[in-house]
Amino acid sequence: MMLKFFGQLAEITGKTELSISPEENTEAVINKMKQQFPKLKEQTFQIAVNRIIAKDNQQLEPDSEIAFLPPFAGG
Amino acid sequence: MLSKDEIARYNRHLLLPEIGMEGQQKLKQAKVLVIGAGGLGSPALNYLCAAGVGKIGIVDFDVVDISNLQRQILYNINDIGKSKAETAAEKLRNQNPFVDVIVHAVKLSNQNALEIINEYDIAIDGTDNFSTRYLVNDACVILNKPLVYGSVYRFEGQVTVFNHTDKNGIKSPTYRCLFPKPPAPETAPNCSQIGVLGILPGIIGSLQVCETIKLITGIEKILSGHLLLFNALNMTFDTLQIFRDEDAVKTAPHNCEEFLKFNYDFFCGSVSTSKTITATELKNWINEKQPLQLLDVREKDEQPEIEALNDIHIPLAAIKAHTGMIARDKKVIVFCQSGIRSKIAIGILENNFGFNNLYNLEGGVMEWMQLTEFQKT
Repeated sequence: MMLKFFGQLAEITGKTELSISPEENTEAVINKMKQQFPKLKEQTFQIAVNRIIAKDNQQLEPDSEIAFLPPFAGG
Repeated sequence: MLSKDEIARYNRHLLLPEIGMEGQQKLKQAKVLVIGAGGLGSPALNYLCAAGVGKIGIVDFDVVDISNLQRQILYNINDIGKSKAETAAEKLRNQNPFVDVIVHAVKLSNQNALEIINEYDIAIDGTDNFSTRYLVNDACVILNKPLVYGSVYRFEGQVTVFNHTDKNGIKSPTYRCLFPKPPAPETAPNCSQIGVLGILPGIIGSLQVCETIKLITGIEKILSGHLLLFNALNMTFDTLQIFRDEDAVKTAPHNCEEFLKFNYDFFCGSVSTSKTITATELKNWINEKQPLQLLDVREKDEQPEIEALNDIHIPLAAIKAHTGMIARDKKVIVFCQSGIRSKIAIGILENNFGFNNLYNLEGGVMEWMQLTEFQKT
């Protein structure tokens, strides 16, 4: 499955896109990423599954696209 | 009615069936507030003014700095050190004399936001910090005004329209629906720390005006319920669907009264108005006979009891019900056994009751005891 990172999250992972082996749900993906990139643990972000913001833990398909979205303050 | 000069000026809008005479008159009658006359505010103000928005308000308390000129295109080298709001207003009045430009050269706060925003139909968020962004959002929700949101980070930007009521009466998401909680300040640096591509706020601020013009003239379809993400490095636009979350909306102050008491800086962890004080400092203050109130938030029979600190006693669990006992006209030293519960108490008092005169005794009673024991020997 494909992951997309925005803003400072892309800087932490070093990538705007990352392909990973399929996970069952969004929580598993988040945990996997936090383990791989421990700095993500400090970050505040939202998750979108197939371009729709997902608030709770959501079931995933192998071809799901998951976006990691931080808030920006700059103006 | 538009004058002959206005008809000539707005000719290219009048030629568009989507705007035409009717749309241009709506623009003339519209009142738009731009909060922050910086990177986003500069292009926003320019294009709102050019488009003939009848009344434009500018909120900014800052002055022009040379480092602003890389992206804040309203200003030039002669404006350095001058008020942004005043300078911007002067430029806009020269740009289009048919526009009424109002200057609010103040720092937007929970004390003035409702009054200022209420004068306008639409607010444009061009601020540069989370505290003001939550404040503007909550004020717009209370006043039932659409908020055209934009924000930037290095090479990326976000745009959407929050709190818009569509023709079926359905309300769009708010900022809190998208981001219920602000990030810890140390994890979210701003432009002055990490840089920003100069053109980026130009693009995002212009997109905000595009949505504002559509809101005013009724052109479908508004970027409402959708968050636009722009990446200048890859030159990509992504759109994510977002939803109104009533639970998140409820976390905001519900009415004017609650709004006036909500401490946004504290909520965003940026700067708490409270300070910490060491046992040594407190001892000096007591010796100097400074006017103080000492607030013990431990349980009623918690030991040890310290005579020197004996003043008022409200256990943490009861603090909300007894705020009337707490002084607002002098320094209040809040303490507990170790300084943790007192910190929580301060959070409650600042956030919900607007206290700004509170000091946390670092290390609490334990630290005080150690100091006095040390001095005895």
